[in-house]
Amino acid sequence: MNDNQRRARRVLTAPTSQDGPLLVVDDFYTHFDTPGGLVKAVDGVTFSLERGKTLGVVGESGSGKTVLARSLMGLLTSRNVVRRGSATYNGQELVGAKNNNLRSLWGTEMAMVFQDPMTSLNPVMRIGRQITEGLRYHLDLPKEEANEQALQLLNSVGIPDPKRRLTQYPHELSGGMRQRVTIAIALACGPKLLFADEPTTALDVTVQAQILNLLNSQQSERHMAMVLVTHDLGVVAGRTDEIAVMYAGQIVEKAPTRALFANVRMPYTEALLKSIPKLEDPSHTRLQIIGGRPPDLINPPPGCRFAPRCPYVQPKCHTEQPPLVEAETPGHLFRCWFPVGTEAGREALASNLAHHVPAAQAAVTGDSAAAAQVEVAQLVDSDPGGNA
Amino acid sequence: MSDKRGGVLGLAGWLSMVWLVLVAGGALLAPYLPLDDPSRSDFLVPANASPGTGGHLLGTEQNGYDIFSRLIHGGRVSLVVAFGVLAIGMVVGGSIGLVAGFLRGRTETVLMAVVDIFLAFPALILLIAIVAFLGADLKNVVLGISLVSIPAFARIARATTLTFSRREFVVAAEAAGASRWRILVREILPNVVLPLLAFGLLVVAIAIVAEGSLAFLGLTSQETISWGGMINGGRRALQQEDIAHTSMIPAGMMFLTVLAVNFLGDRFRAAFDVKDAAL
Repeated sequence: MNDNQRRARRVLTAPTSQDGPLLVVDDFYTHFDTPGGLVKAVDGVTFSLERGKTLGVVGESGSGKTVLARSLMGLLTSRNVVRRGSATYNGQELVGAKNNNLRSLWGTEMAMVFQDPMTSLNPVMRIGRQITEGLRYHLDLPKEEANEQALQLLNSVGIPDPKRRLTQYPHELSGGMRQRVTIAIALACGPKLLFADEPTTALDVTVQAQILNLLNSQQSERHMAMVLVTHDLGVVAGRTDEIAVMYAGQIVEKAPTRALFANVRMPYTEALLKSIPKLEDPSHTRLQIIGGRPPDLINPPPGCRFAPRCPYVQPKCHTEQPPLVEAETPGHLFRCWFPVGTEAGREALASNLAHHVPAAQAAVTGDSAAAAQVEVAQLVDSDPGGNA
Repeated sequence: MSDKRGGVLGLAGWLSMVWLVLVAGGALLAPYLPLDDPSRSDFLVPANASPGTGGHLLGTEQNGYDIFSRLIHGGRVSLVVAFGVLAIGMVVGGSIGLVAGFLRGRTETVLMAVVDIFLAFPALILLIAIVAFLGADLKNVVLGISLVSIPAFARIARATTLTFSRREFVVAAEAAGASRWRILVREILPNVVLPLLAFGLLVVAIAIVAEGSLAFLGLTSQETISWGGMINGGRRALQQEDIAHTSMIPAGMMFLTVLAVNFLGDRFRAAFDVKDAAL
């Protein structure tokens, strides 16, 4: 490759204005065919993302957020994965694409930062080689130039003494440093779309903010689109343009960040927000939990999937699945028959409290016995023999 | 890193290392060392002469050959067997395991079925059959022991490959657009080689003993000087004349060498063991 071509490559990766969204996901499904049945890990997800924007995907363990990210990226390779629907990157369909075609996108167009920096670096390869490998392979840079780039990358992700780090092995670095290295590797070939799959879960709280700020600054500097997957609403609050809350494989609420926090509509989002401990609470305040656990993804509840744990639950919720509807704020979608902050929602909660519905009691009074009842009720429901 | 590894070896480790260097060095340089001709009888002393008699440091054996010289020369056979088996076993067995563990599916089923069939054979019987059938020379002994060791190498390589092939850094390499071949060679292979090598040292010890066993059973060419052959040769003197040194000295030599190899292998395994905590 001559110098001109190389320059052209770099111009391509420089910030450009794009027409339309970069990633369009439309009614996207990812199911796992297991001996126990079809696990519906991602069940009809729709969203789109433009360059320079960040989408936060939030949900508890098992909500399908990580599967969504990996499935969109095309990293779920086992034979029991069933993907349906459509996901296009820059107009190119990703669902059903051949691995060879995807490989040309990986690294240079889309990249991923993984959850655990302890395992996402090769333990027997020097840091420098792990970074330059992509540069030399994808961008055909000569060795010296790749090393130069790697130095700059390490500098830009805030690693002190980068020259020395290049010759070190992963075990010589701390967890935070390693995550910085994985970010450097992900950014090496100038991707336009970055998936960050719980990038701070495995790190110390003190380092988490640094890593998130780093991701944020790199995202805006490089004008990338970023999908930030996390279970922590606090993480996405100040750092995303839009938030999608996932529950049992579906998006249950999606809104521009500000609108979401100002006007929560979905009871699940409300419960997630309540479960964050607050600094101003007196000590020994009981932590608000969400009673019960996420539903079985093989046989999700027929109605609203959150119904068995929902404080606002009404008979209708158990039989009819609520569609994604738009709230007053444009772009704010939610899935609920009795939304939080509306007349219908208030009435539903009041009637549940009057009838001593455990989920409502647990949510309002923080009663852990009531929360336990929710789980017991779920267990009885999920046992077809009824002999629990 | 290197001084840490020196500390890991410890005194016994260093003694093992020194012993192996002496044996290997002696074997390599045997023709150039000022030794007695190992295949020339000394008629000035009786057969089975005790150590120290007539300038023979360790005495002579039943044919009047110098035992010390034969020990040094016999190390060559052990050396060839050790490295031959290690190389063939690691390359062939390692490749089979690597491919099976990486490709999975039908390839794995077929390869591992063959491996399991070979594992099910009683190793020594198979070995004796091979050597008896193909002829008892060093090349066939090495090939036979290698064949017997390949299944074990394959199993270990496959198991290690399995644990590494779904590790996050491999997925990360995939997400960075690396080809499958590249992932196998650059990401997985370097991680598989170390545990395989540590196991290889164990196989070296077994191979030395196996060669000795074959020689003891007479399944070795008569011109080849080997420790096993020496033990076999001294057997009659031990049984009929109560002369122990002709068989015990080569036996002790083999014992010490195998012990040193095992000990060193153990130390290396401990030092190279990549635990999650150290990742």
